[in-house]
Amino acid sequence: MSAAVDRGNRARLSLLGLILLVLGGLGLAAGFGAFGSSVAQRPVLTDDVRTFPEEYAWFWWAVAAVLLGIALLALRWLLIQLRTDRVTTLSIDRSGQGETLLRGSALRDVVEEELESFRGVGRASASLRGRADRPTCRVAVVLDGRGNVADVRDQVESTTVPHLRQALEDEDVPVDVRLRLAPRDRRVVQ
Amino acid sequence: VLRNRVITALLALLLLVAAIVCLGEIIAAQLNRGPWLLPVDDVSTYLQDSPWSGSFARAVCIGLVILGLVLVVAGVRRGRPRNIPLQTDVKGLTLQASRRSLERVLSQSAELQDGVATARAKVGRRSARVTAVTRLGSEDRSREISDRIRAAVDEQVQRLRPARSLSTRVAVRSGGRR
Repeated sequence: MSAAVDRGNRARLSLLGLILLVLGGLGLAAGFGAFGSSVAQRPVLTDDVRTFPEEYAWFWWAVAAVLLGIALLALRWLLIQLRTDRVTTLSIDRSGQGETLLRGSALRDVVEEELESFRGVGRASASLRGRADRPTCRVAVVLDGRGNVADVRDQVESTTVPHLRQALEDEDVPVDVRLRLAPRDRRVVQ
Repeated sequence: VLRNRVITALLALLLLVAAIVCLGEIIAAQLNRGPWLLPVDDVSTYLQDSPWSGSFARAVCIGLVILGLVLVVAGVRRGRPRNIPLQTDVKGLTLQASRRSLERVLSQSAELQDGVATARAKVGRRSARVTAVTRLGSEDRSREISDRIRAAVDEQVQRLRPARSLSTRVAVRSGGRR
């Protein structure tokens, strides 16, 4: 998940939590007499509140509009959670009359093949993330514990990243490499 | 991150369903039809008879406060990072190591030390904490074992070159398997 979605989720949860805290706190305060004993004894739904919509016909339509807004907002939140930031196809050359498209799977194959030939790398994968006009290349490298982490890093920095940028025809494309170190059942010999 | 994603998705689904049901009830009422899904009249009568100081209102409000607290804590709490950023001199490159895998490597380093039965490492944003249990008969060497574990863990961390230095803390308990 992208960092932006994560930040958004934290903000949404905090905001919703604060709203519920305030509402619950006010209700408890009213019940315990913080606003006077008459409020504490007053029913949750008073006659004034109950008859208000009968006097103002627009009231329920206004509530309906607010509910519609909440429903649309909730639907948007839900879709954001389900959305992936993976870019499947990338336009790398629009000069001239044609357009060169690069499939994310092609990039993945090249990177996997190169990385898996390094000593110490068990598995590797690559994908394009973010926006199609400003993608980030994410590379996941699973080490097998046979090689030296420093050597794998050097090879990634000196070989894989330049090759990736060459393939994407963009020397500045951000690359995010995530290493998974040797699993527990293997002894690291470095 | 995943936890927040699940909570947000569930909340969004709950809000969506609640808003649609309430919207349906309003439309049904405006069209002079009976209640759609909710027993609106019963709820209305019940709320007219329930004071703010009543047990029903208090229970609902306590529920709201608890749920609110849970959501605020989930939103504010950062938790431990999924990945530990590593140093790199290449422009535009972000190099990270998975925290869990680093924990496994550090646990292994500690367990490989003589006299250690089991070890468990926890890595945070700024520190690596290793808790080791010594083998039976190694109780009197706990200080020495602790120093060796610290040296081994420090070596692994330095080899990885994290972007932010990780301080190492080692706790040794006695009484593991022989």
